[in-house]
Amino acid sequence: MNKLLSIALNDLKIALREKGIWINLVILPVILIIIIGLVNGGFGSSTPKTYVDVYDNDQSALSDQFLQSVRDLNPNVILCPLDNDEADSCKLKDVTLDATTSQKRVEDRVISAIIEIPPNFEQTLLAGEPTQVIYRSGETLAQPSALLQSVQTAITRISGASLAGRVSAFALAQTEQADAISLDAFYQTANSIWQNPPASIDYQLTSGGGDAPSGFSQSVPGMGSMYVMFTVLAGATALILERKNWTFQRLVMMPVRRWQILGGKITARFLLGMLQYSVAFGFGAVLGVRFFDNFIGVLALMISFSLCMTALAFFIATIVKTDMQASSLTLLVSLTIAPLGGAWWPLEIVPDFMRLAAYATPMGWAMHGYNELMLYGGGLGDIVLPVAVLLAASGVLFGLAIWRFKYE
Amino acid sequence: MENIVEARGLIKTYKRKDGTEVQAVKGVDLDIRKGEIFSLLGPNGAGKTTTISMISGLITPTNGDAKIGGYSITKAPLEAKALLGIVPQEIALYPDLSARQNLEFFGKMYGMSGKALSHRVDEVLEFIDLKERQRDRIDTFSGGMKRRVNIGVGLLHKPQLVYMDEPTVGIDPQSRRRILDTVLRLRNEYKMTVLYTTHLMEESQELSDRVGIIDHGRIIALGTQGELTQQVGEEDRLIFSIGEHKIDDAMLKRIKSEVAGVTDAKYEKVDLIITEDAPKGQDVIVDKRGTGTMTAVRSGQTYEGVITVLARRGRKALPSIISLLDSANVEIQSVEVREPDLEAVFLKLTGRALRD
Ligand SMILES: Nc1ncnc2c1ncn2[C@@H]1O[C@H](COP(=O)(O)OP(=O)(O)OP(=O)(O)O)[C@@H](O)[C@H]1O
Ligand SMILES: [Mg+2]
Repeated sequence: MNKLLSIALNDLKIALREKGIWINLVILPVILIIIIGLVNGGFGSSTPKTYVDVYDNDQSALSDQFLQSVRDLNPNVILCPLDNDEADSCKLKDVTLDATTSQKRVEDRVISAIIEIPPNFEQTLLAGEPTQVIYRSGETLAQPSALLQSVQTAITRISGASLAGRVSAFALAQTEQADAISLDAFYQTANSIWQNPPASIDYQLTSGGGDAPSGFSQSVPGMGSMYVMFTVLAGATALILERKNWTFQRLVMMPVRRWQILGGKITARFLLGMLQYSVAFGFGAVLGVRFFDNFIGVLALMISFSLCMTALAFFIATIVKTDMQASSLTLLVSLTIAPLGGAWWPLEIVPDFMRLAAYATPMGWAMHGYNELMLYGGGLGDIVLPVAVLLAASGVLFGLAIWRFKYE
Repeated sequence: MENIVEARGLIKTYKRKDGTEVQAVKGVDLDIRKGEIFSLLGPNGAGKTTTISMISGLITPTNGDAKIGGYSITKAPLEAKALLGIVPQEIALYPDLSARQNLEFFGKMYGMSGKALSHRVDEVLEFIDLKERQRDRIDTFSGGMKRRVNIGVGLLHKPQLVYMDEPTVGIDPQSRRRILDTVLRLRNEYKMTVLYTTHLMEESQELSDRVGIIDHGRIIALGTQGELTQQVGEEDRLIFSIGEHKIDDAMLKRIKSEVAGVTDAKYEKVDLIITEDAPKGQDVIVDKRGTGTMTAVRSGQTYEGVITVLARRGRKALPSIISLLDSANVEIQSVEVREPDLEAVFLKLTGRALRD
């Protein structure tokens, strides 16, 4: 085991001393994460619309006012069915909106949230009683989406308006003793009313919904996985080169078991893949990409994808003869698998047959998993299949590689 | 005397891409005695590396087995390999790592670690005289220095037995000299056993206690140098260098028939390996046949004509041959007289020169 680790560490050391390694390991992935993230709508002009189902059970001037201020605050919000257009962007054709269908629409991510305005919203507010707007979504309050922030602000505005009305009423009632009116009294009154805000939001957690997908939530795992693929598959070339310069043969002639040699080399490549992922996701964290809430799931995907690429690298090393062949083949494989598997853009936007093709690649499964976790708020349950597929593929490729591997 | 290597019936058959088979080694038996320098002498492609690879556990013999210190290399490879130090024909080092890092890593593969390893690496660096350059990357080293590190790795665990596969290939004469001295020190000072392969008769002659001559995958002669040269009798070899002159068969026949004591005469063209460039028109120094023997030839000369004559009491035959060549206007540039040697043995056994 000691010798295995020594071999792994030595390989890592050699890989990290290679000329230009930092460009490939850090600089290029970071640049591509930014570019691809922006193309996918990171901060770009093509910010996707956010759809919300609205149940206005009050239909009053104040409820209208509230919805209008949500629209004003966030121009990307489309209130369904109120703001539906001819193209039916709310996707309401053949749908009767009710609690169950809306709930389903949140889960399917057709809409991001449901807003419910209670009956007598206006009346209650004008009477100075507290009232609540219901907001249902899968997001957590710790990291509110842009949508939720606009709804919160709109509520605060309505409350503010109501507050002003009540404070004015208080002022009018006091005019008989005008000399006694002090600013302090107004402040005290406003403050005591605010203790119990006139209108507030009743957050209700459901599954699904949340923020519109951020471009970086696509580009961090996408470019990260692509570079993991580059870095790890380079192992095929490295192995052939070790044969060419005889260091591999020298190891075989030393008192080391064969599984220790191969195990050491596999461990080194796998760790390099994980290092590459850490760089991508570390930078993602800087960009504010959310993955910590699903860290275990993300880690499981990282491990299974790195492992799968390592197995592929060693398999490739057994089917080529020269280091030139190894690097051409790995380049071909990488450049096919990366876009096909959804590293560059979400699989949602490609035609169905290409989405099917994506699932023929390890990248497709990995990206499916990352998208579930990082774009659609999925949980561990959603990545069991991708992880299982990647691990099974690793098993098969390792099996083939070890079977075909020649020590001579 | 005790044998440290005992190989029996080693055969290696390689499959070529087109499906045909090549038998690189065709049944080799080999006993190497403790404390000796044994050299395996043979031309390129004779099967030296293949033989070494089988008795070091790199490749599995198609047939046969070898015991190293009593351990079968095929059945108890770890025990056998632990006794062995290996210096491969290739420079088997990591070019991106320093000399020290290479030594430390390979030392760990022999189970060494910590202070003991570090101390031993110091010793080896001292021995190969590269202490000053220990922190430099291997790819900044000269060919000779790389060869020395390559040897150092083979000595790390103080093995009783070292295999050295053509350790002087492709380096300059000074570095070659240094390595030959190192090999002698291994036997004389450290009492190691050395198996040394080479295609150079001079090296074999200088180093070895016993020699095995290998050709086309078979050991065709084995013994001490005295035993081997006795096989060719008393004949001396006369070697005439004649520049770019060409000689026809008629001349060779005349030498054989007209000069007393001559049994054979051959002509061949030897390619010149230019090692030091000189300005046009002046003499250049060449390494004739890659043996490290330096000669000056005219600039622009691409080959050297060499006549080899076998003769009993060669010195006596010399004047007659010179006058024969003179009469044909052949300009003789140098003459060498060699007593019976391994080259002659090889020539006699195979009908070819060792360097072909
Ligand atoms: N992997 C291989 N596949 C096919 N043929 C091989 C292989 N390795 C060696 N051979 C052939 O076996 C023969 C012996 O080769 P080997 O390398 O043992 O010779 P050598 O004596 O070490 O020569 P050199 O002085 O050039 O190193 C050669 O004809 C060579 O072409
Ligand atoms: Mg060889």
